[in-house]
Amino acid sequence: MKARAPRVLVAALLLSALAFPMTMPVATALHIPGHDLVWVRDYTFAPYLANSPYGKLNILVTILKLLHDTTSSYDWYFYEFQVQSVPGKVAYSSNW
Amino acid sequence: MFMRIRAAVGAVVVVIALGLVALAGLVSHQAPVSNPTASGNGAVVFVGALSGLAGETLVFLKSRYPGPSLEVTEIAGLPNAATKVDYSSIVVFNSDWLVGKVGDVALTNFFKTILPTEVKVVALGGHTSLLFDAIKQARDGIFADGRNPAFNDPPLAGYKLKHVTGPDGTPLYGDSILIGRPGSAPEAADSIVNWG
Repeated sequence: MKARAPRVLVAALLLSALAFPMTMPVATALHIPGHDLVWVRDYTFAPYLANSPYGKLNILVTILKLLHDTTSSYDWYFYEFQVQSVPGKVAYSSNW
Repeated sequence: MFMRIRAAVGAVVVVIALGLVALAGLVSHQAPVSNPTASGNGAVVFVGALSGLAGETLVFLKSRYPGPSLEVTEIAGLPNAATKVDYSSIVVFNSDWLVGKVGDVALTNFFKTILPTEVKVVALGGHTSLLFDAIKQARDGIFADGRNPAFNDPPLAGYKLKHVTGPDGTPLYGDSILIGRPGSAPEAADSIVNWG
């Protein structure tokens, strides 16, 4: 009977351990070990297309430059595209 | 029996305590709510005539930037306007006002003064490409000749100089560019407020 108490505690600690990782910060996207990416520019096309009552389209382009790329011949950039379509119901309170 | 109850109660207390710690961690990692006037003055500087899409959009921007409002019609008014601007402000140009003024020393100095504050600068209606032509005088290299981001004069164009810190701690600057084809003034105001 005495052995049950530690088992309950272990179960409680395991449950808590499952909760803790949620508090960790989200890892930086596009991280490459030994290299660094630095933001240089972003383009926001908002709205790129707008057509009431149907909806609209937004585009966000983020450009990151790779530092320490070990080559003097080229510069390396990462382009990240995000496309957001907004239905007319949200954009214009229409029934689209 | 008593031991079992005490152990169960203890386990529940441990779970609740650690859960509260985890919840506190979650809350501390929430991104702050975007509020342009949280600690800045939220000023609105409008340059040009209160007409067209620019004038209509200003009405909606004023409700989103409740700081002081300043309207400038003469180029001589720019130095004073520059003193009212901080990162939380918005500077709105009626593009028609920029016609014939690109390269003017006072306009170039205005941009040199305000851009480091990371203020949003937008142009509305007409020849919005002139905004980038004018800013290029203050920040050479923003784009190559013939590569104006607003080359086809979209109804809305905006620029914001943004500061980031490099991996070795060095300060770096980059460009945040807004291009928009809003169908109405409220839509233009939404694009400007949500940008960046």
